[in-house]
Amino acid sequence: MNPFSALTPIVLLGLTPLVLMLVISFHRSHRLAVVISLVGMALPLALLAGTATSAAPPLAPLLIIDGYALFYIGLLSTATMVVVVLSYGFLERVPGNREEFYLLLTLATFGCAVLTASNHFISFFLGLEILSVSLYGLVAYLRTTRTALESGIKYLILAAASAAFLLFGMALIYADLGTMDFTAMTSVLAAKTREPSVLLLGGFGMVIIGAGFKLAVVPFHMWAPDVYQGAPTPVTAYLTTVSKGAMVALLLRYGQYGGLLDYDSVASVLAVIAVLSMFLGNLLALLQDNLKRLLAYSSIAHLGYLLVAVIAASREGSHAVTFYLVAYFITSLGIFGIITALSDERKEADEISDYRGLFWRRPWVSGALSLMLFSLAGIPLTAGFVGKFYVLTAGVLSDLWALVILLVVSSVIGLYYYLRIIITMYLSAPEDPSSPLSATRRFSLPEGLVLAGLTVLLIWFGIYPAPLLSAIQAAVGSLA
Amino acid sequence: MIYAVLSGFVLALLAPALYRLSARWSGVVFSVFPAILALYFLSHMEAVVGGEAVRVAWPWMPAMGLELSFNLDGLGLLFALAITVVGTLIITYAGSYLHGHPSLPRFYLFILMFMASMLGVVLSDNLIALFIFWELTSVTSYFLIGFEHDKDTARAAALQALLVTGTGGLALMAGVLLMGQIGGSFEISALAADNAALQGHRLYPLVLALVLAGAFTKSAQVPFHFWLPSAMEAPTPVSAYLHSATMVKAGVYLLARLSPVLGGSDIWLYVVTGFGAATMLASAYQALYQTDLKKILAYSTVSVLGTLTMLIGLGDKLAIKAAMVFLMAHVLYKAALFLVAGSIDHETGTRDIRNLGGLRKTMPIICAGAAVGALSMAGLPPFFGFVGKEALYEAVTHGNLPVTVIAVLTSMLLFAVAWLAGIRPFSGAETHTPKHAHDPPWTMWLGPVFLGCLSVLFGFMPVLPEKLLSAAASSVLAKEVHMHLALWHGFNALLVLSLVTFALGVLVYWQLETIKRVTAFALPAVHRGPSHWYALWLRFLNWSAVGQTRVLQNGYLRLYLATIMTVTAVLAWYTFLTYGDVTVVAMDWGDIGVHEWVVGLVALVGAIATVRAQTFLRAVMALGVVGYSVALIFVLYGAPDLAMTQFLIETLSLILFVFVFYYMPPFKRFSRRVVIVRHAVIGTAVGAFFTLLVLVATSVQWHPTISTYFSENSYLMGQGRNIVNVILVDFRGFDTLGEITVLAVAGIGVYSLIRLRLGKGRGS
Amino acid sequence: MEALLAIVIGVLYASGVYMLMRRSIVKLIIGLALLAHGASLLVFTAAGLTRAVPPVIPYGEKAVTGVADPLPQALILTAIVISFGVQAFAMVLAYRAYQTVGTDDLDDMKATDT
Repeated sequence: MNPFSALTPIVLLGLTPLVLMLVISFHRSHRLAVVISLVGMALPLALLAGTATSAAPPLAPLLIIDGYALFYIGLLSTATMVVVVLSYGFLERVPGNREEFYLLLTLATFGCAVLTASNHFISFFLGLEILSVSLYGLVAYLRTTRTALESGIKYLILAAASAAFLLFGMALIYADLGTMDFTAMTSVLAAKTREPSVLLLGGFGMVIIGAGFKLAVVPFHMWAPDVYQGAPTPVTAYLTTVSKGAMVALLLRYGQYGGLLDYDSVASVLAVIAVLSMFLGNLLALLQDNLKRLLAYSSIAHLGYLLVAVIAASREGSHAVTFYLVAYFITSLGIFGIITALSDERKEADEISDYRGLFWRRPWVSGALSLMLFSLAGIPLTAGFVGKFYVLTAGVLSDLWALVILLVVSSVIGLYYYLRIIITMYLSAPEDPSSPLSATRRFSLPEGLVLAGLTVLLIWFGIYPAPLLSAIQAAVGSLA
Repeated sequence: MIYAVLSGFVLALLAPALYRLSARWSGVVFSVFPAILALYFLSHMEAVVGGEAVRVAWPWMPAMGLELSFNLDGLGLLFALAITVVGTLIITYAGSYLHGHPSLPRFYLFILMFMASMLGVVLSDNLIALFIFWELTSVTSYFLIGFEHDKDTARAAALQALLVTGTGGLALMAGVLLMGQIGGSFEISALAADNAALQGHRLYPLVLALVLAGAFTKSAQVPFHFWLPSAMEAPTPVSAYLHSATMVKAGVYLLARLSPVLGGSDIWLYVVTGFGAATMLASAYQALYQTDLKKILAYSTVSVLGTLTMLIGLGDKLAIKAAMVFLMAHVLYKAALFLVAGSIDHETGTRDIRNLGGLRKTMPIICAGAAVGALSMAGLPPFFGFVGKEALYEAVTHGNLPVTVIAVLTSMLLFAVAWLAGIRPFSGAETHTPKHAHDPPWTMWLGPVFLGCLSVLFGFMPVLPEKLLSAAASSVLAKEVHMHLALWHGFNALLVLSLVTFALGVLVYWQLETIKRVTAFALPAVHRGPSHWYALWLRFLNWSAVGQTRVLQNGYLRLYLATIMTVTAVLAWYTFLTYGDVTVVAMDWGDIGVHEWVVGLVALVGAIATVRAQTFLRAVMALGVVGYSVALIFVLYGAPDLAMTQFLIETLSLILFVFVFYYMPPFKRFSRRVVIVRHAVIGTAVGAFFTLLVLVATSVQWHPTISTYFSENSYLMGQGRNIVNVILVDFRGFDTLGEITVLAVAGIGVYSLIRLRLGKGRGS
Repeated sequence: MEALLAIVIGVLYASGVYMLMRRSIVKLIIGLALLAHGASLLVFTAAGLTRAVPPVIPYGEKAVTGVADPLPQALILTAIVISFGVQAFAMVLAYRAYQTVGTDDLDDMKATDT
C-alpha cells in the first residue's frame, strides 16, 4: 500500500482551508463556507472507517497514522463540526466578514490533526504553531470589541513565550538523546541508565511548560479565564475542547515513547500541577458570576483530573484519559453550545444571572444544561461520571492513593458551583423584566439537532459506555 | 428483577404525560405501580425466608469488570418492602396533599425516580452499581427537597442536603474503589466471602473512614446530622418518604450490608457504636426543644438512626436482631406520624405545637392514627414499638453499661417526644388555627391508619414478621439465625427497665419546661456546633477564593508572566541543583577568535540596548543589531541557509515594525523601580539557568546522531548537495508545507484584523 | 565559543523575559523577538557547533561526515519563519488595540476581569 494513502485524512483536513480560501476569493457566502467546512471535516471521518483497520506505516519519521491518531483525528474533527454549526448562528449576529473565521477554524483543526499524529519534535512544533497562530486570529476575531482584542493579545504573548520555552526544551532533549524522533527516543532511552541527566529533565520541564500552557493547568492557566471570557463563545468552545484534546493526545504519545513519565521527579512535578489545578480551578470557580469564566476555571480543574490519569501512565490510564476527554468534549461543547444558542444580538448569555428562571421559559434547554452540569460534576448516569470513575480507577490501580483522595476532595468543591447554576435556572423568573436577556431566541434546526445529539450521547455513554470503551481500547491499544 | 428496579425510571419519564390523563386521581393512579412492585417482592417472600437469595446479573460495562447484579436476600427484601409499601401510601397521599400544585407532574417524576434508585441501592450486589443508585437518590432528593423552589429556605436546605450527602457520596466512591482494588471484586457477596484480605490490609482504616463518611452523611449521624432537620422544608410527603422510611436509612442499610465485609474489627466496633450512641442521645435531646411538628419528628428520626447505627456497630447476634426489629417498628410509626403532621398542617394551616390542641374532636380518624403511632414510638405495649424497644434493651444489656445508660436515656426522651408530637396536638382544649380543621379525604388518612393497623397487628402477633426479620438478620450476620419475638416475655429485668423508662418519660413530659431550662446550657454545643462549622467552611472557601483571585488572577498580563517565569526559574534551579553536575561544565575561552568575540559582544550590547532604549525606534534598531549578529553567528558556524533566512526575515520584520509603530509616542516609564528590579531578577534567573544548561549541553560528550542518516543519504536519495535544503525539500517537504501554512494563517489573521478599517470606512 | 554563545543566549532570554513583563505592548513584541532570537541560537548551539563547514556535500562525493548537524538547522529554519509570522500578527493586533483603546499600556486592558 502506498504509504501516502494513509495520510489521506490529514491531507483532506489540510485541503479544506485551501478550498475555502479559493471559494472565498471568488464568491463570498456564509452558508457556503459553513457547508465546505462541514464537508471538509466529515470526509476524513468517512474515510476513517476504511483506513482504521489498515496497518500504520510510519511516514518518514514525522507522522504516524495509527489507530490512535485516527481515533483522535475523528474526535477532533467531529468536535470541530459542532463548533462550525454553533459558529454559524453566532456569526450571523455580528457585523463584518464571516468566511475567514472558518478558514482559521479548519486550519486550526489541521494543526491539531498534525499534533495527534506527530512522532517528531519538528511536527510537534509545526502542528502546535499552526494551531496557535490560527487561534490568535480566532480569539481576536471580533475586532470591534475591546475584550476580544485584549484576549487576543494576552493569548498571543503567552503562547509565543511558551513556544520559545518549548523550543528550548526540544533542543535540550535533542542535545541529550541525539534524536528528535519519538520512536527513536524509546530505543535511545532504553540503552541509557535510569539516572536522568539534567539536560533531559530540563528538557522535560520545558516541554511540560509548553504543553501545560495549551492545557491551561496551574501555574500556566492564567490566560484561560480572560481569554475564555473575551473570545467569541464558539472559539471558547474550541479552545476548551479541540485545542486541549490535541495537546493531550500528543502528551500521551510522547509520554509513551519519550520517557516523560518514566522518571519519578517528572511524575511528581506533574502530580503537583494536577493537585494545584484541581484545587485552584475549583476554588476560583466558586466566585464567578460569568459563566464563561466559571467554565474556564472548571476546565482547569478538569484538566487536573485528567492529569491524574496521565500520571497513572498505565494502559488503564491512557484509556481513562481518552474516555474522560470524550466525555469532557461532549459536555463542554454542549454547555458552550447552549450559551451560544441562547445569546442574541443584544446580549451574550454569559452571566449566571441571565439563566434565572430559564426552566420556566425553556424547560428542555435547561434540562439539557442541567444534565451537562451534572456530567461536569460527575453525577451518575452521565458520561462525566463514567469518565471520573475511570480516572479514579486508573489512579487506584497505579497506587496513587493521595492523588485519588485529593481528586475526590476537590470535586466536592466543584459540586457547589455547578449546583449554583442549576438552582438559578429553577428559580422563578425575575419580576423585573429589565434583564437584557430574553432567551427567546429560537434555536435553528442544526443547532437544535446538535445539542439534542450531544445530550443523547451524554446519557448514552453514561448508561451504556461499553461500545465507546471497546473502541477506545482498540484505538489506544495501537499506541506503544 | 432488573425490570422491577428499572421500570421505575421508565415510568418516571412518562409521569408528566400520564399525569395529564389522570389529573384528578393522579395520586391513586400512580400508587398502583409501587403497589404492584410490593406484591412482586412479597411473592418472593417464601423463597427468601427459606434462605434462598434471588440473584440476577447482567453485563453492563464488561470492559471495566462491571455488571449490573441484583441480589434479593432477607435484608434487601425488608428494605424493598418498606420502600414499596410506604411508597404506595405516600403517593396516594401526595395526590391529595399537593392537589392543584403546578409542579405536581414534576413531583411524580422525581419521586418515582427516587423510588427506583432506592430499590437499586438496596438490591444491588455490585458496589459500583450501588454507588450509582446511591448518588441518584441524593440528586433526586435534591429536587424533591427543593420542590418549593421559590422559598429561599427550601433552596438553601436542598443545597445543604446535597452538599453534605454528595460529599459523603464522593468519599464513598473512593472507598468503594479502594475496596474493589484491595478485595479484588466489586461484588459484595464475593467481598464478604473473603473479608480477611481487606481487613488485614494496611489501608483498611482509610477504606473504613471513607465508607463511614458516606454512610454517616447519608444517615445524618453526628456531626453531619444538621442537614436532616433543615430538609424539613420539603413537602411533607417527601419528608415522610425520604426522611423517615427510605433515604436516610440508606446509610444504615450500607452499614448493615457491609458489616460482613468491613465489620468485626475493633475500630469498627468503637467508631460505629460511638457515633451511633452520640447521635441517638444528642438528637433525642434536641428534639425536646423543637416546636415545629416536623422538626420534632426529624430529630427523633436522627435519634433512631443513631440507635440503628449503634446496634450495627455492636454487631453481635442480639444487636443485629434488635436493629432489624427496631427498624421495622420505626418505619411503621414514623411514616404514619409524618403523614399525620402533614394532614394537620394541611387542614389547620400550622405545624407549631404551641398553637395546636383539641384536634381529637375535629379530626378523629387522624387522631386515631396519630395515637397508635405515638404510642408505638413511645414503646408502649401492645404496639410493635414495644417489641422493638425490648429487643433493643436485650441487646444493650448484653453489651456494656455506658451503652445501656444511653439507650435508656434516649428511650426516656423519645417517650416524651412521642407525646409531644402525637398526643399533645389532639388533647386539651381546642385552639384557634388559621384554617378550620376537619378530617382530610380518605387518600390522606389511609396511610396513617394502614400503618397504625400494622403496628397493632405486629404488636399482638410478632410472629408474623418474624421470619422476614430473621432472614434479614441472617444476611447481615452472614449466618443463619432465627428469632422468636413475643409481646410478653414474662416479668424480667427488661420489663423493669421498660417500666423505669416509662416512669422517667412521664416525668420528663410533665416537667418539660423545667428540664429544658435546666439543660439549655448544652444546647449550643450539639445544636449550633456542626451547622456552624458548615457555614464557616463555606465562608472559608469563599474567602480563600477571593484571596486567590486578588493575588493570582488580577488581569495583569505581566503578573501572569511573572508568575509563570518565577515558577519556571525555581523549578529549573531546583532540578539543576539536585541532578545537575556542574563539574562537566567547561568554560573554554581560549578557542574564541577575535571576529567571534566581536560578533558575540555586539549581540550582547544589542540585547542590552534593546532593553534600555527610551524610544521605540532605538529599541527596534537595537533589536535589528541582535538579529543580524545572530545571522552572522549562523554564517560562522556552517549554516549559510539559516543566515540567509535570518537576514531576510530580520529585515522584513524591522520594516514591518517601523511601518506599524512609526507614530508611537516615546516609551513612558510605567513601572516603579522596585517592580523593575523584581522583573530584572526574574529575567536574570531564567537567563542564567539557560546559560548553564547550554554549557552542560555543549560540554557533554557528543554522540553521532540519527541525522547522519541525512548526511549519508542526502545526495544518494535526494540528489542534492545542500543537506539542509534536501531535508526541507525532499525528506521533510512537510515542514516546509507547515511553515508556509503558519505564515498563511498569520497572513489571514492580519488581514482579518486590518480589513476592519476598510469595513468601517465603507460603513460610515 | 560555546561559552560566549551560552552567555549570549542567557542574556537574550533574560532580556526577552524582562521585556515581556513591561506594560507597553510594543515592548512585549520586542521581547518576543528577543526570545525568538535566543531560541534559534539555542537550538543551534545545543546541537553542537562545527566551525564553517556547512552541511553541503562537495562535488564528487556521495556523503559527508563532520559537517554541521543539519536536522536542528531544519528546526531553526522553521522556528525563524514561524516567529516572524507570529510577530507580524502581534504587531497588527497591538496596533488595532492601540487604535481601539488609545494607549499601549497593558494595564488599561483588563476589562475581562471581575
